[in-house]
Amino acid sequence: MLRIKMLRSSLKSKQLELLLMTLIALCIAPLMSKSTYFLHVMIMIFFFAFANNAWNILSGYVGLVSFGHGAFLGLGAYTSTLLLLNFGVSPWIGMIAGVILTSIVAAALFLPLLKLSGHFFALSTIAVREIIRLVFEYTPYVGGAMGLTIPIIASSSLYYFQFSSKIPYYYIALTLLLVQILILYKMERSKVGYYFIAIRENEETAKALGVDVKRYKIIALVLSASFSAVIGTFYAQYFLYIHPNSTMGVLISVEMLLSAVIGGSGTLLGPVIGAFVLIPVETVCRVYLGGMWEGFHLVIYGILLISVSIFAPGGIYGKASGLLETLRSKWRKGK
Amino acid sequence: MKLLDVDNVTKNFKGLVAVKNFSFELEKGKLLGIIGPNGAGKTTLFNLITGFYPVDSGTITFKGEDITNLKPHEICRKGIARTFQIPKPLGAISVLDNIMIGAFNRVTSTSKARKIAEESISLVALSQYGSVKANKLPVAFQKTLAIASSLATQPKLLLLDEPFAGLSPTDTERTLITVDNIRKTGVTIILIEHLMRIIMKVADRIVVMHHGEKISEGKPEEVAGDPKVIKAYLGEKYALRK
Ligand SMILES: Nc1ncnc2c1ncn2[C@@H]1O[C@H](COP(=O)(O)OP(=O)(O)OP(=O)(O)O)[C@@H](O)[C@H]1O
Ligand SMILES: [Mg+2]
Repeated sequence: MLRIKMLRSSLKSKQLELLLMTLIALCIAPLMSKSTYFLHVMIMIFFFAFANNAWNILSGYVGLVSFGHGAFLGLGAYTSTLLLLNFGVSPWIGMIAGVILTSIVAAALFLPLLKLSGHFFALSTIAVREIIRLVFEYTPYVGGAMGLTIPIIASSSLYYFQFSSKIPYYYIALTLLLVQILILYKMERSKVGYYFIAIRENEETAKALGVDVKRYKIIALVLSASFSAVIGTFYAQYFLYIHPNSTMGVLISVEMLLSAVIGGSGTLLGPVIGAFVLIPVETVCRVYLGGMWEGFHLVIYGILLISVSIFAPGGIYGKASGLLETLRSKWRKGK
Repeated sequence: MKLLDVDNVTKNFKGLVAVKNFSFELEKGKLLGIIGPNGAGKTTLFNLITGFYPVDSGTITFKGEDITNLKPHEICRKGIARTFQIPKPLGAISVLDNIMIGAFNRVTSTSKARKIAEESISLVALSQYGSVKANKLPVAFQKTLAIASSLATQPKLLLLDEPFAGLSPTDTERTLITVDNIRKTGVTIILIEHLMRIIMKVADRIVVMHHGEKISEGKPEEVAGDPKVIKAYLGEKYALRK
């Protein structure tokens, strides 16, 4: 018994070691490689890991699969950008404004959808996202279909969230992601996290056990939308150019869904793993296939998705932790 | 003391009267059995008490407070927990995590919830399955799990919908012990059961339901001898023969 405990704690500390080493590696990576291309890929990985995690709250934990998260990301991007362009407001403050506005819009437009179950919810998110996107496309004040360009205000300013080098973006994205993972780690182990999973597994049982299903769905929706808005502001400041299609389109919405599911939805690290696996695939496609094949990476994602649903229904993370568990129990038996 | 008072409750399903002018009272600390043939309205009655369906008319009073048509989670918070006739476990998570969901009804901290869950799980003698995924559990144990989860919500009144149905003799024996252990903690119980044999053993009082109506009520031996009950269960012929 003691042996098993020691074994378990040594495995735990091994995991911790691995985690720390990954962290250190991520922290010093920009110092090792000066390649802006490498930095760009890493930033996109952090960006999507964050976005996937945001999607995962509502769709992975609570099980309300959304094809509409681009709407939230775009609203965040547009809010901070419009505040910056019109009033010179720092995008950091704009980020907070974006979170508030997006929460309100999410609550107002998506709330009625929370009653719907399964496919109907998924389908309706497509419609609502598209309506929001069209509103932006046809409103000249917000740049219409042309979108908005953020002029270079300063060569490097934390206040204006603008940097000529990619390194600050790298660290900002990494910090955002780490803070988010920490919050989600806490969430997963708290009452809220347990209730989210309970709703996903069986709403009736959850209700019978005292879960206010409606309330917790709203909490998940707002959390999920808020995180999407945060990373939307990052998107705007990183690319300094946003338009309805790139921030609110179907591509970005589906990409969040696909990489989270392939990585392992409803888990803490699955969506992050998804980003680490898929973004390099996408980048390689972009580089070698060029603009002609825009969206081709989604074909590969699709193939990956099919393989995952056949061979690893819990996603890459689920498969890996399952394998680890069997190894562990074999080891235990062997001892 | 009167814990629950169901007064003249009626529920229609598009013309089908599932529960009709139904009334009964329940004393604290007692075990009330509800029996009745298939489709009598027993489960519907549970769904009305726990807010899963709104009542058409009538009132339900719990601890002197009108709880008619409150939401299920509100009813649970008031102190009434239930199980389902067909267990619906939270399949993807462990047995202990299932029970913790119930425990969060009273506490916010995860460690406190785990403690409550561990008490519940040992009360139903399921501790050895704590880390097993709920959907890997045999149905008989899923039923026990459902009892443990609802117990973890710390109810004053526990509604068990056919906890014995379909169980092997061993599992029946095990569940009888569980029900007995729960009674010892002072929780009042309403138990739906098909079989007279079992209900006679555990119930203090029995209410007999037929076509949504109460056709008999009393001590187990009184109810068992009631010709109306025999008729409902065995048909006209047997009642006459007796
Ligand atoms: N949601 C519903 N919609 C329509 N009819 C329903 C609904 N729930 C129950 N009924 C009907 O109400 C009647 C009573 O059903 P109920 O499930 O309460 O019976 P029961 O006594 O629990 O039966 P059993 O012993 O088979 O579990 C049945 O005729 C049933 O078909
Ligand atoms: Mg029933």
